[in-house]
Amino acid sequence: MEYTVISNKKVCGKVKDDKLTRDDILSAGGSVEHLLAAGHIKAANAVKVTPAVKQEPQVTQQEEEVPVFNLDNEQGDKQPWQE
Amino acid sequence: MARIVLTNVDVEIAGVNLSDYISSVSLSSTYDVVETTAFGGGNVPAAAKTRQAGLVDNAVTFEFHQDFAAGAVEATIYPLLGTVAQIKVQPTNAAISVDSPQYVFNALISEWTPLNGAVGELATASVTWSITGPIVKDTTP
Repeated sequence: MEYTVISNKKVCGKVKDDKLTRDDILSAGGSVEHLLAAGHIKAANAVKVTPAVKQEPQVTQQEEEVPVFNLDNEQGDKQPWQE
Repeated sequence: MARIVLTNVDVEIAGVNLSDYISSVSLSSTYDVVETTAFGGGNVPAAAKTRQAGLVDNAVTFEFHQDFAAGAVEATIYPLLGTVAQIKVQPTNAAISVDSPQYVFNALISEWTPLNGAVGELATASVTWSITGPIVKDTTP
């Protein structure tokens, strides 16, 4: 992983906007976590987070009423197709 | 080499060069003196004490100018308190050579004074950190 120097100080022998790898930092006696926390470096491939596009609420279609067919009609009631 | 007036000492702490915030530096090594005097052997009595070097005790002292800005002194030193950090000190910022050796060591960041000074004075922090392990002197470019 690569890091970019954002500090005005020389960091591990590099100046502002120079790139550093974890190995560069460790071999120079530094710590990635410390340099990140102190604001000396930032991840070079950090993705810029953009706010998500607000989605419009989906229009839900009302379900059509399905006629219920009573196949076990013992009482002889009229079925819908018989009307 | 000629005498040297310190104007551009290079100091790197945990990978961060803070030279422009340091006005004074002192790197010291002191060996314990272990006495080895014994009775003389045979007809030769002991006439003088004898000694040899024991363990070495190394320390470094800095005078910092305080700065609370992001990526400056406070942001760099404060998180290191209580930890061991690698420090590199060189009398000049020229290439490493016999005339400008680099001293590399690990120091225990045991003290820090975030705020120190009187009215109208520069905020400074004077610290002495014990070195853990040896000091490595590098003269190879």
